[in-house]
Amino acid sequence: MSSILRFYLISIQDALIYRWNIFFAIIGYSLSAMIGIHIVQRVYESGHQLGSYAEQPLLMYFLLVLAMDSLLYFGDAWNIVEEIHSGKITNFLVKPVSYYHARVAMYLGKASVRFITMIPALLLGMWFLGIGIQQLVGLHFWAFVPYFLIGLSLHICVIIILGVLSFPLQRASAGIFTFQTGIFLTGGKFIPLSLFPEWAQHILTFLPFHFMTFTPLSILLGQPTFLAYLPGVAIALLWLVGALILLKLLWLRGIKTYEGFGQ
Amino acid sequence: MKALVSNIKFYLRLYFCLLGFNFQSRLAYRGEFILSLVSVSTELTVRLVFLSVVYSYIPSLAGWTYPQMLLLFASSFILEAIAWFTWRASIFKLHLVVQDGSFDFLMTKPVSLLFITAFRRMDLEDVARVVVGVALLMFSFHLSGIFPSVNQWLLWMVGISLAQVVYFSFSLMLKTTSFWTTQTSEINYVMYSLDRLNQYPTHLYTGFVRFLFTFIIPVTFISTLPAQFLTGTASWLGLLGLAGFAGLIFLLARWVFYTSIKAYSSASS
Amino acid sequence: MSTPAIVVQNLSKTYSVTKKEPGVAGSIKHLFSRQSFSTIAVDHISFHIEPGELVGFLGPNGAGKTTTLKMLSGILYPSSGQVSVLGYTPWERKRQYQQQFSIVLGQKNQLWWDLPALNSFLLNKEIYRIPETQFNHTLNKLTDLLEVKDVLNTPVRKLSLGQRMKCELIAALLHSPKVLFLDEPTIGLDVVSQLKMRDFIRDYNQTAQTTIILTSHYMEDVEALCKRVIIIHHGQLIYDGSLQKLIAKHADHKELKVTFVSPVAESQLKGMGKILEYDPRRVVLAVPKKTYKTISSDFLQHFPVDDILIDEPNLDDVIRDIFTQPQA
Repeated sequence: MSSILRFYLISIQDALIYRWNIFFAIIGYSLSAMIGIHIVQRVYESGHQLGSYAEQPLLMYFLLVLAMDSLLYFGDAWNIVEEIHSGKITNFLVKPVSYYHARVAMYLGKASVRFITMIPALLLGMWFLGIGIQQLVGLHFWAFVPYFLIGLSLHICVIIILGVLSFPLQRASAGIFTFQTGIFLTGGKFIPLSLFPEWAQHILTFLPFHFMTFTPLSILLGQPTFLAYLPGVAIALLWLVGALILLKLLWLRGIKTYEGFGQ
Repeated sequence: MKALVSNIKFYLRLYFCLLGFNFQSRLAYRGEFILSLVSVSTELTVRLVFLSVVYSYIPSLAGWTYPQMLLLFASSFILEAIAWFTWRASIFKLHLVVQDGSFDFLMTKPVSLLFITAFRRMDLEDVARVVVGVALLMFSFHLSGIFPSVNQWLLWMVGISLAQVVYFSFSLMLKTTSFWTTQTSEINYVMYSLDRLNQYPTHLYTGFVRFLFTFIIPVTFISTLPAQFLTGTASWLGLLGLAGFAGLIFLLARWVFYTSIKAYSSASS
Repeated sequence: MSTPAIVVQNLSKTYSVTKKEPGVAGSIKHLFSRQSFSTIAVDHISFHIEPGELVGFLGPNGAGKTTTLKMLSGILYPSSGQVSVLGYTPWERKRQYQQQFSIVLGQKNQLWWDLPALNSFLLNKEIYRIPETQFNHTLNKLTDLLEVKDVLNTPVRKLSLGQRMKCELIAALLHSPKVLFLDEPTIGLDVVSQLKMRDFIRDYNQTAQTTIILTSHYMEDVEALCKRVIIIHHGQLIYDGSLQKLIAKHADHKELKVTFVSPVAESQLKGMGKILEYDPRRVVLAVPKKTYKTISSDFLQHFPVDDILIDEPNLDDVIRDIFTQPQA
């Protein structure tokens, strides 16, 4: 356990060294978030509305996407590819720690720094939109946690799988990028999934990605949709189990290929 | 005058030589090239899905109808495609060139350093953007039943070229300021967000944010104004303003570039 | 005397680095305050180089050799001092100057990784505006000399290090530069390739009359190629002169290698000279130049000598000798 903690701390240090990366990432996300926020403002100003949403929860949704972005990020998929390519992964293979456990610890370390860096941006956004700080207190935090944990676990699995799968590609970024964009859309990062046509939402029930943004956020805001109910949860858990099995298989196979690939 | 013509000829030859090399080295990894095409197409699809979901609830957004918004999307896809075909990959990967030391070689070449910095790498898979852009233009004309006049097309073409200068200058400034800091890729996050910002009219924003996206991050000049030439909501006057802004920001970016080169070569060993 | 090709006066380069304490606490502290201190890479160096000369730059890693070459190429601005190469100030980066020199950095490459070397040559043809006929002629000559004709169409990433280095050199020579800076051109090469490279550089210097500065930490390179060496240590110039004089000055002794027919005890050799290697059947001694003749005849008279070999000390030892000496 202590070695895992060590990886967590190392990753925090690393994140602090590359603090500009995190800072600019947050700026980038904030700029993108401005689009959604202003679209909502213009729509409600003109007397229309999006689905059954009132203006403020929707604005809050877009702000909280920022927080989710800081916790669920894709950068580590690239790091994994890089670690395999450069052979740094052997450092893990020769030590009595699981590469996956170390990776998860490192992921969480960076996520912690990202989350803390993001808080000022979130508060600034709330102030800018005239949303009182008491709104944060009114969030359904405890109900959110289990959903978030499922989403986080799925997310980390996806990242490791993407990283391990795409290392044989010379330009792994294209593959990772495609998935990332797809997950952003089907996860609800760009727009709440409940605004999609009903048939599309039914399809999304069978995918786990809504757990990575939309479903936890709708719980947090106290407006769960049918995606948050039992069938959705059961399907997501099934996906999670599947992902874990896939990881295990990839690892067993990967070690073999890596040894073959080894330099 | 003669010197100028021969100079232009020289740089054009150099550009096509580099373009050819990029084409060849891309074909060296054919599988990845196809994957990149898939990646670009997915990205474009996702952006379109978002837009059509929003418009399924409203007739117009900040004064832009759905077909007009599609024109803006199309115009910005084409703008981006041209950017990828010319300067964009080189500027995005500038930190790599600096890190691996190839930049040192570039500094010893008897050509404009700005030119060779800006036109080394071209990402050809972004040809997908042109295809989607043109298809969107057609679709938009079909939806609205309005086809722009010859005058509008001309304005748009000149406008999009000037917008390219603004886009290039702004990105160059962002990237070269990182010479002063760490020579890493961090600033790319901001540049990526510009991709999305370019797809929405700056009429969405009000007050300070509008100002921010006009003069500090010049989205208005890069994408909104050129698209307005197509929708017929901007005139020659707008083009004049765009030209003026493009000239100013290019000179500024050039100055920032050469100043930061000097800082870089004074600070490293 | 012609005007020198390269004039360097009081050239200095200082840069600053930041330091971070270990641990999370150190990282957080580093966020808010950075300790930086300046390092002197090059410290008031002056020298002249005549046209057509081939000069060796010697010094341990981090001595400031590469930094000096980068300043001569206009890649780096100096902190102070003046440089004139072919009458130009390098860091003004005038096209006319850039047209006339080349730099090869042994640890970096300017060739396009995924493409055949020929493409990079063609690019340089455009960049340096080399006329077609001249380009073909030079390329033919160089590829013949370096024996890389058959790999011109192979992607650079598939070339061996030796082949790649040769191609780097060709890329640098296509525009027939008057001044050439070679930074560790033989680094990492196998012995055969090193020899080839060396021969090529020597011949090229003689036939093209190119002024060349060569840095290397392989002493053999310098011994084989350069009549004149400049030694830099901790950024300072500590020797500038002929290689022979350097050896004469610092190598005031010869090496005596004696083999015996029957074993000789170490104690018996006392007073003969400084023992460098000892084995009952073989000994290597450092002997002052003035007395080596008498000492060798002493050996022949008093010891069961099988063979005596008298050698100059090699440059490696000389250099090590200079660097370990306390500086005045």
